[in-house]
Amino acid sequence: MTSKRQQQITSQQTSSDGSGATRRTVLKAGVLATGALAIPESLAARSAIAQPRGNTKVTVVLFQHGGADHLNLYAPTGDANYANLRPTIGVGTPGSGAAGEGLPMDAMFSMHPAMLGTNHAFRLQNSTCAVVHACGYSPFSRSHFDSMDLYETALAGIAKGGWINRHLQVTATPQDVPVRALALTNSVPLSMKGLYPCYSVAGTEELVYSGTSDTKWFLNKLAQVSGNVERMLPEQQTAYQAQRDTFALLDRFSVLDPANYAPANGAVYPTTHVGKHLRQIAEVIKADLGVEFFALEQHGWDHHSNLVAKLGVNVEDLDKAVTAFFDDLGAAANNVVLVTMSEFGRTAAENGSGGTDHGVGGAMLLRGGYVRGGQVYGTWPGLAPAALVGGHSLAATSDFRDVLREVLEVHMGGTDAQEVFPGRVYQPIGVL
Amino acid sequence: MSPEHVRRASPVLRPSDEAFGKQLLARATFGANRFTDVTHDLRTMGAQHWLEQQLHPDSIDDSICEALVENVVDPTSGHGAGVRLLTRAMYSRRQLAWRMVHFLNNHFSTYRRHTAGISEANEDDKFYSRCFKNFSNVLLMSASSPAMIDFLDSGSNVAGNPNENYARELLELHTISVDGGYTEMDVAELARVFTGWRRVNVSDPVTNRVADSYFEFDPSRHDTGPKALSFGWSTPGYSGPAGRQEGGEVLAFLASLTHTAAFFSLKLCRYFVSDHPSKAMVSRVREAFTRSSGDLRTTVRALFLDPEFAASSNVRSKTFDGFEYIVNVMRRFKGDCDLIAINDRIAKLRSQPHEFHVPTGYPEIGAAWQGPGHLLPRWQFADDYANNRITGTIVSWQYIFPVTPSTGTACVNRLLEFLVDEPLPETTVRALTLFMNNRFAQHAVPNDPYWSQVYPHVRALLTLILQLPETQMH
Repeated sequence: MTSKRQQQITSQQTSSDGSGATRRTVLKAGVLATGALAIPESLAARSAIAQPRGNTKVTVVLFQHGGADHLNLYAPTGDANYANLRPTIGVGTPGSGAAGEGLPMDAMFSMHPAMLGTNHAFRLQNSTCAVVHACGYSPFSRSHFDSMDLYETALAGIAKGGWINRHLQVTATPQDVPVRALALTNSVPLSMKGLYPCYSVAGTEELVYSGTSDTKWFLNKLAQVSGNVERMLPEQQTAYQAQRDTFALLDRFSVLDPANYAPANGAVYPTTHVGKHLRQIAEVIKADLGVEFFALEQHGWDHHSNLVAKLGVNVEDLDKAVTAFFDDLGAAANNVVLVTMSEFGRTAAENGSGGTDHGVGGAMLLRGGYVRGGQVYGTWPGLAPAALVGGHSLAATSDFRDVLREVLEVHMGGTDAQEVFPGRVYQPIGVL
Repeated sequence: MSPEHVRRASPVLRPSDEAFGKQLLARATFGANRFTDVTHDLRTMGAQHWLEQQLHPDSIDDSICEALVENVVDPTSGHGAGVRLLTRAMYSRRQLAWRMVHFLNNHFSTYRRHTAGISEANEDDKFYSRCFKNFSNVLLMSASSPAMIDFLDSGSNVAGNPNENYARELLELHTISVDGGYTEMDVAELARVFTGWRRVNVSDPVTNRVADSYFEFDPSRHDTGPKALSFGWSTPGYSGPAGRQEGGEVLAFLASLTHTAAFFSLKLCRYFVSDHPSKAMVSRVREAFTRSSGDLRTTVRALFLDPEFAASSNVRSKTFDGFEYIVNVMRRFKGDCDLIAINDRIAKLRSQPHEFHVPTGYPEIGAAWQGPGHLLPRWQFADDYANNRITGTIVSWQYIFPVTPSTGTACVNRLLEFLVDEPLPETTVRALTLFMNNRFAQHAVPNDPYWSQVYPHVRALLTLILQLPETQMH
C-alpha cells in the first residue's frame, strides 16, 4: 500500500499542467490570493479555447438512483444476522452451495453473484477496485429527493450548489478549458449546479446536429448587428444563455463521432443507458478535451418488491458497463477514478414484498486511478438489532464526504475542503 | 355552460383587456396565435366568458376531438395514454381542462412502464372528469388508481409487512409536502392505513395486454389495528370492508390541511403563472382553495383572475417543457401530423406524460428545461420538422404562405406572425432578415419568385425561428 501511495503522489506531481505547479498550488497562489475566482461567465464567452494538458485527471460519478441495496451488492454474509434478516432475498455465503451464492471479497463481505467483472478487478493483485461500506451521513433523510440533494450538495445546502461545482470554483484558473464538467443526464445534476458553468446532454450523439452551419451564421450575425434589446426577464436571460451554450457545446465537441467509436482492447459495452454513457465518456476522455468530471445515472434501484429479479438486472448491467469502461480505457485508467453513489441504503430486513424499503447506510464503489483496491473500507457497525438505526437500517460509520475528499485531494490533485465540504471534520478513509 | 351559470354575473375582478386575453391564450391553452380557432372564440366571447366556459368543459362540444381520440390509438398499448393526451392537447376545444390534466398527471406522476397503458389512459380520463371538482376527490381517485397502486407498490403493502412507498410520496409530493411537519413514524402509520389497497388486472387473451384494471380493497390484507398521525388524525382501525374507509378518511383529512392548500396552490401557480410566483399571489390562490374547501374550479378561477396573472413580469416567463413546445408549434401551424410520430418525437425531448420514472414528476421550473441537453433535441426536431423528416408530418406551407413571398423580409415577418406573439428584440429580427436576404442573394432568387425558389430558404428560416429563445417560452 505504501509503495502504491508514494507512486501516485509522484504521479500527481508530474501530471500537473507542465509548469511544475499542481492545480492546488496554482489555486493557492494565483486565484484565492487575489481574492477573485476566475469563473468564466459562460462557455460561449470562452471563445479562446485553452488546450488540455494531456494527462487530465478525471472523476466519473455514477449515481445509482432510487437507493441501491448495498446489502445485496456487497453483502455482509459474514454477519451472523444477515441471513435471518433476508431469508428469501439474501446473498449466500460463497462456497455454501446455496442459491444466490455470492462472490468472495473477504471474511465478512461477498459480492452480488452478477458482479463478475467487478469481483475479478477486486481480487487482482494490484487491484484498483475498492468498496467503502456503511457509508452515508448524519442526520439522515429517507426521502429520495431530500437525500439525493444532501448527497449532491455534500450537505452544504441547495443555495451553495453542488460539490463538483464548488470544487471547480475553487480550482478555477484563467487557463481553464471551456468544459471541465459534463453530465450525460437530462439536466445538469445538482452536484454540478452552481456558479461554475457545467453542461449536460442526454448523450453525445445529440451533439451531432444537422443544421449547424445556418445556426452558426445566424448567431455570428446576431452578435454583430445593433439594435434595441429590450430589458429581459431573468427567465429570458436564461433562455438566451442556453441558446449560446448549446451552440458552443456543438462547436466544442464536433470532433466526436459516437456512432462510429470503436472501443479498444476488445471491450464490449452493454447496449443499456449506462453502457452507452460510459462508452461515450471513454470517447471524450480519449479525445483529450480536458473534461475532468463526468456524471451519469443508472435508474431503477428502488426495489421495494421482488428485489432478487430486479436487482440482478441492474447489477449485471452496472458490472458489465464498468468492466467494459476500464477495459476500454486500458492504461488511461490511471487517470480515471469512477465512484458510485446512491441516495441511501435500504432496510436491513426484507419486507413482505420480497423487497426492501428506504434505509440509511449504503456503500460506494471506487475503481481506477490509484485506488487502493482489494479492500472493503470503513468500520462495520453490524446488523444486530441494537446496532440498526431506528431498529431497521444499517448505520453509516463512514461519511461519503470523506471519500469524495480523498478523490479530490489525492486523485484530482487538490481542493479547498472547507469550501467543498463545509463543516465536515475529516475522518480519513484511506481508499486513495 | 349550465343555465344558472349564465344568469349569474361573473365575478369581474379586472377589466377584460388585451393583456389578459393574450396571457390567457398563452397559459390556459396549449398554444394559439391570431389564426387559431381558440383565439377566435376568445375574441368573440370576451376573455372572462371564455374562461368561464373553459372552467365548465363539459359545456363545450368536443365531439370531433373525442372521435379522433377513440380512433387514433389502442388505449391498452404502451403509448396509448400518451397519444390520447397528445391528441387532446392538440385538438380539444376544452383546452384549459386538458392543461389541468397535464398538470395533475404530473403532480400525481406515475410511470407507465411500471403499470399498464390502460391504467394511465383511464387515470387521465378520471383526472379530466375531476379537474374542476374537489381536490379531495382527485386525491381519492389517485390513491385508488391502478396506475398509482402499481407505481408506488400499494399492492404489496400488507398487514405485518407494510410498504411505505405510497404513504411517503402521498405526504411529500401529493399533499402537505416535505415541509409539512411529518415524521418517519407518520409515514409508517400512514402506510398501515393503506394496507389491503390493491388493483386487479383483466388481461386480453389475444393481445396479452392488460385490457382493464380496477381497484379492490382486500380486508384480509388490511392492518386492523389503531393508527395515529402526529399532526392530528387517528383511527381505532376497522376490520372487514370497513377497513377501506380509513384511507378515505385520512385522504379527506390531508386534503383539508393548510400545508396541502399552500403546497398545491404553489404548484398551480408555478404551472400556470410563473416559476417564482409571488408569495402574495400564492396566498390569494390558497385562500380561494381553503374558502371553497378545495374546490378546484374556484381555485383555478381565482388564479386566472388574480391581478398578477397577466402582469408584465409574467409575460413570456415560462419555458415550455418538450411536450408543450412541440404541441405549441404544431397548433400554431394547424399541424397536419401523424400523432404517433409526433409522440415519438416528444419522447426524444424526454417529456412525454407518463414517462417520468421518479414520483416527483417533471420539473415545473423553466431553468430545468433550458441548457444544451434540452435544446439540442429541440433543435433537431425543428430542423426535421421544417424539412418534413417526421413521418406523416408536413408543414402546411400553403396555409402559411397563400401568396409566395418575394423578399426575405416578407418571409421573416410572416413566420414570426405565426410563431411569436410578443415582439422580438430588434437585433433578432435584423439578423433573421439578413440571413434570408443573404440566402436570396446567394441563390439569385428573382423578384417575382416561384414557390420552389423560396421554399428551401423558408425551411432554413423556420428551423432558426424554432430555435430562438422566444419560441421556447410562453
